[in-house]
Amino acid sequence: MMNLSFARRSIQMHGVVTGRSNSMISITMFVTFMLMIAMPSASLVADETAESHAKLGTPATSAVARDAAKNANFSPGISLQVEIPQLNVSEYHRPYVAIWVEDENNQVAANLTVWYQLDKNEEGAGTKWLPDLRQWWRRTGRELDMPVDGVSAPTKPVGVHSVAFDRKEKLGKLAAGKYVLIVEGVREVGGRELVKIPFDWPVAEDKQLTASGKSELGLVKAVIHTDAKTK
Amino acid sequence: MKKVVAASLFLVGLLSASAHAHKTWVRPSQTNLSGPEPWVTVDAAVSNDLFYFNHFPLRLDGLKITAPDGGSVEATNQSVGRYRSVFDLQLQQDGTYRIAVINQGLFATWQENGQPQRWRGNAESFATQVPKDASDLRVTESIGRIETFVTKNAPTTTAMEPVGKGIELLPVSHPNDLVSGEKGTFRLLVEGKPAAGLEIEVIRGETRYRNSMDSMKVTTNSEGEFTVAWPEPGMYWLTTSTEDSVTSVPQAGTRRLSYTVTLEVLPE
Repeated sequence: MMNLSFARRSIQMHGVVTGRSNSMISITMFVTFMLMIAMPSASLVADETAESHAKLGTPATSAVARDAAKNANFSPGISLQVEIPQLNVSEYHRPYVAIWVEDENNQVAANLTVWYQLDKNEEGAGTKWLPDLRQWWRRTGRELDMPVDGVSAPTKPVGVHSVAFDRKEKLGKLAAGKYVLIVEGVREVGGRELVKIPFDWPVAEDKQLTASGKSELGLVKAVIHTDAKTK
Repeated sequence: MKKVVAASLFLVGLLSASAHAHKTWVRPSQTNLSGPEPWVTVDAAVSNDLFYFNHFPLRLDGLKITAPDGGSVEATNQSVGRYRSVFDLQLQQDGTYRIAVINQGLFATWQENGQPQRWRGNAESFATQVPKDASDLRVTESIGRIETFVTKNAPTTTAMEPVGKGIELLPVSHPNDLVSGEKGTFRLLVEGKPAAGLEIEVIRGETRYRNSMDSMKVTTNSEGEFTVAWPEPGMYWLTTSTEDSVTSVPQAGTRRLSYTVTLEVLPE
């Protein structure tokens, strides 16, 4: 009897101790493992962000080249240089900018891009202020489930920003006709401005068009590209 | 004294849509919203000017908020102040919310031992509280809707399904899709049916900063439709009223119906 009960107690104690130390070890291992996973991927994300920011100031040709490099089939339909002007204001926030194409009936023919605060900050989600891009919001923004792949992009600093849009992916649905390229910019505690560039589609030769804003947007240079394949 | 104040407060709510001196309204902080579960805050008041708080708060007893899915939602942080009432609403669904304060009931006056008596209530309490043999009895019935609309992301119309009582507004143009330089068209219903010949008064807010109300008058056509060409962006106050004889007690000969809506018109 005595032996038996001792044995049982010993097994119980042993079991408890072993059990606890096992779980301690596994928690420690798990945390270490998680750290190992988390660290490299976090730095990768940071690198990617830094890289994409570094590219922002590059001229239009390299923007086309960059997009072309990403996608072998890339063929520019419209490329743009959009100037965000330096403003002498005490409180400056980067503007939200939407760029789209409308047909003659004010219908959105192509939703090219929208630059807004993609992440949450202390003032909440950046999507809260999207309706301030009033015309874009009314024409298309309110129908979208943000973020939209290939449309949503982060806000940009003061400077000239180059973007190129693939003719098939972004402008593939454009029938021949008259269109207006619209750049709308709105700034927190600032103003709102629209720059409109009418154009014909398609074009026989690359066509350069410019228009300028007066307050929130600077010079907008557009190149309407001819289809390289038909040349 | 308290009774008189309460009664006159009620009268203000009841008759203000017709009495041009006083305007009733609910006005949202903004009408087009986005982001995850945004908040809108709403003021409700009875005032001489638009949209300023300078007379009475609008009581929130009849507050009814219809969500985009057609269900009812409660307003939070309801508060009745000296000059205005306030409440908050979190927009958890995509689409259009209908925010209404509905006042309906009976108002009676009579003489008792040479003293004027005032009473308000509904058809059930009328039977028990107003003496059958009251002398010089005057009974008015009324139904008034004071409303506005707010939208998260794309506008929808489910919340605007008519309930079929009093005067209601149906969208032809969506009430949260109005831009200056364009025209807004709406249909008015009385008891769920298109109402021809209703006169609507339209006034843009910020009346303090101009010398006249600059009110516009439009009238519904045979389909119950009316159109407003918005001269400039702003918060607009629209009101109309009519009378019929659809009363809940025979002592009330006529019923007064009123409708007021606050609409935001944005710059192009």
